[in-house]
Amino acid sequence: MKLSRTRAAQTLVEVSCAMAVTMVVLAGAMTGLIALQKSLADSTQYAAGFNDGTRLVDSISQDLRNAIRVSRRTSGIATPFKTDFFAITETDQLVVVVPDYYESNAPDNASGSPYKTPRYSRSNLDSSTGVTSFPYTDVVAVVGSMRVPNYSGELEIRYLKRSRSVQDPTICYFRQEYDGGATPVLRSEMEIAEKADSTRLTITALTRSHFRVVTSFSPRRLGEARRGGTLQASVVKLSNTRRD
Amino acid sequence: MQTARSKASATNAGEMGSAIIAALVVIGILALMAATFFLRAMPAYRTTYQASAWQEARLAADAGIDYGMAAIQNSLPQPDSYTWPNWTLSDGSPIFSRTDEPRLSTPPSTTLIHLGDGNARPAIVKVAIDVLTRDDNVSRNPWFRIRATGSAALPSSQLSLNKRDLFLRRMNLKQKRITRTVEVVARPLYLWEYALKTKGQMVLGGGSTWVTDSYDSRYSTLTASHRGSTNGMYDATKAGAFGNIASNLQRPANSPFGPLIDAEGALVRGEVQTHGGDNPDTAVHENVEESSQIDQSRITNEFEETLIPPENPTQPGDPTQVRRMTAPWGTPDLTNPNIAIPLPSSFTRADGSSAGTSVTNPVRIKLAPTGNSQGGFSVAPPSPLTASRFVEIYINANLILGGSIGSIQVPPNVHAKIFVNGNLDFKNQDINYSSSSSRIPGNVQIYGVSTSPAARVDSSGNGHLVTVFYGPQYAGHLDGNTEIIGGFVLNTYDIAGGGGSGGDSVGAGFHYDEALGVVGPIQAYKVVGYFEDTRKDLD
Repeated sequence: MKLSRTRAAQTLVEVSCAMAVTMVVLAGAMTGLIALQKSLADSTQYAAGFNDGTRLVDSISQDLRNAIRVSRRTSGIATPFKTDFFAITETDQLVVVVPDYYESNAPDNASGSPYKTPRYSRSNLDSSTGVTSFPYTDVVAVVGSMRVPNYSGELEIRYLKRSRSVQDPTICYFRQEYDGGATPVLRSEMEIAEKADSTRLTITALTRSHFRVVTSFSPRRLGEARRGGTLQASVVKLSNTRRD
Repeated sequence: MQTARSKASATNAGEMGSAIIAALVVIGILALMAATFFLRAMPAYRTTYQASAWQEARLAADAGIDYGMAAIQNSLPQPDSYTWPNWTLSDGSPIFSRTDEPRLSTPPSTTLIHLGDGNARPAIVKVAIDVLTRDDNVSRNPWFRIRATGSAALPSSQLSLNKRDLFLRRMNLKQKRITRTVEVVARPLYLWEYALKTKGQMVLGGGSTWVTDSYDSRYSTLTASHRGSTNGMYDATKAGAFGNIASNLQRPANSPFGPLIDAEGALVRGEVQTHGGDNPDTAVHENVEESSQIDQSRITNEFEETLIPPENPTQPGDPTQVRRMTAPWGTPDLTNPNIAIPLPSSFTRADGSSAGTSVTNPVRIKLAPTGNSQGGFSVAPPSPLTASRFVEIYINANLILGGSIGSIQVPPNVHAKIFVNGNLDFKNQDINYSSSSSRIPGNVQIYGVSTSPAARVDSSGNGHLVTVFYGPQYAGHLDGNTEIIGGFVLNTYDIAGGGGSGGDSVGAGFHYDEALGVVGPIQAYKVVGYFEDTRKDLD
């Protein structure tokens, strides 16, 4: 019985030791938890940054494959982009010009709308006249001495980086569609990446028809930043003959 | 009274309670960590998977385009009479001749040998080909449009990290798949769309007066949209800068960058293209040597064409090895004694008989010369003079000009195809250049059908060759001040001497007639327009 009572309580030394051990364990756990939280935030940022980079590269690559002209638009003046490289900013924009393939560029998500219908859809053939293909003079253009498909206009796609709005300073990348011509009309604007402060998107013209698209973003930790950003790169070949 | 066993049990019970709490705490923390990990990792995994599937779907669509292009290439040389096996019209009926309607095919699932990474399972959903338009030349050859849709599977119906991916990748999350549709336009590529094209080495003429440029026999004036001519003939004052040249020669694998065309300082007013050889990381164009007189922005290295020899019409061959230029000749050869006035005395016709007055188009003449000094010949004009006359001549020997009728004369409105089963030596003679000739290069098409590895075509002096030549197995040595008004396709090309003005001439070199872009047989079909339809309704 004596023995049991003795075991039921702790001496001051025992309590002190237990508290010390507990403190050490708790301190370790806290440190671990804080590190885990940091790591979680970092990995979240990394995943988001990586995902944004992939989307940026894929979006530009998709447009470049359709392109017939590629320009660098600096302070509002576009010049054919055939050499060198640059980083996309608000005032230094990438302009990808694609054929005006659709009947209309005014967004309309209705099924079968002019927005979704190709200009040379067979439904546009006048079946009452027995015509089964489009007139040569409508469909064919001569670029230099080479014959290529003709479209009545061009659609201008601009990539730029700027704040979301006057009220919202969040830095984002945008893809804008303009109906081509002397005074382009903005038809749609899509935000393709947000919180892009540390993201850098560069375009390099390797040749007239090959472009390298590179995105990089810096992780938040300084130690990581010193190692340089995470890069994603893709080389794209234009599938059409350039007309500039 | 408590036994030693029960005392031990009581002690263990207290300790076990603490252990359960501690274990629960640890398990809780681990579960939290695991949950957090999966909460973050799974969307990231889906993002990567969806991006990958998106790429796989396009590759599948591109594969569908290749499948369609293969069918179109198989339709040569007569696309309108091709039967299109494995393709049907939309109502399931077979393809009939000269139809412009869409023809459909779904390639077998085994078409894509590599079935993608992971479980994306890319597939070619469908391929449709229709005729977008037809050439405005006499052949009315079709321009085909190919639409191919590829698909890839998604792992789940959940979106990834970011809704912006949905806009770009246009995923059908309900059906757990991505589809992408690509449309290309393929047009006939004719034999002479370049001033000079070689399968192998190309060495241009030196000297400042040796020039490659272009004109257009169809127009009399030079405008912003086309070049001009004077009476259909090259005129330097109306010339333009589309005397394009190209070589299909490739560099060795261990030395990918370096010269493939030796320009020798020649003035090339046009595109200069090679098959590789240019280092993208340098500003200079390693692929073209001595290119000081060439617009550097027009030097590229993406030329790639398969140039196969022309078929000998009297000995039809394997269509995969030769390109058919005319319908195979029957026997006996039709012979028209009025083809040449006068006939070269050294020629003997194959059968010596007269075709009379009721000859058909084309008139086919087989010339079997005796010896190698047969000289030139002239083709009789049509009657009436404004009518068109089509003539095919097969020369079963070397063609060596010179002699009493040195040149080859082909009057206006006569369209001559000359097949030479041997070497050609134009010497310093003219072809289709005399005042009685049409001076339209596309009207005199010469095909070298020799299978000899030593086949060659030569010229020298101040000859004027208003003609086109196709012989990608022939070595071309067009020396001296030879003026070529037309276009040549050769195995190799070089020139010794020359570069002078050549007397009454228009200047040594190549003066390409842009009207040749729609003349002659089809060499192949070429993709000239590419567009991914990103707005169509989701499949």
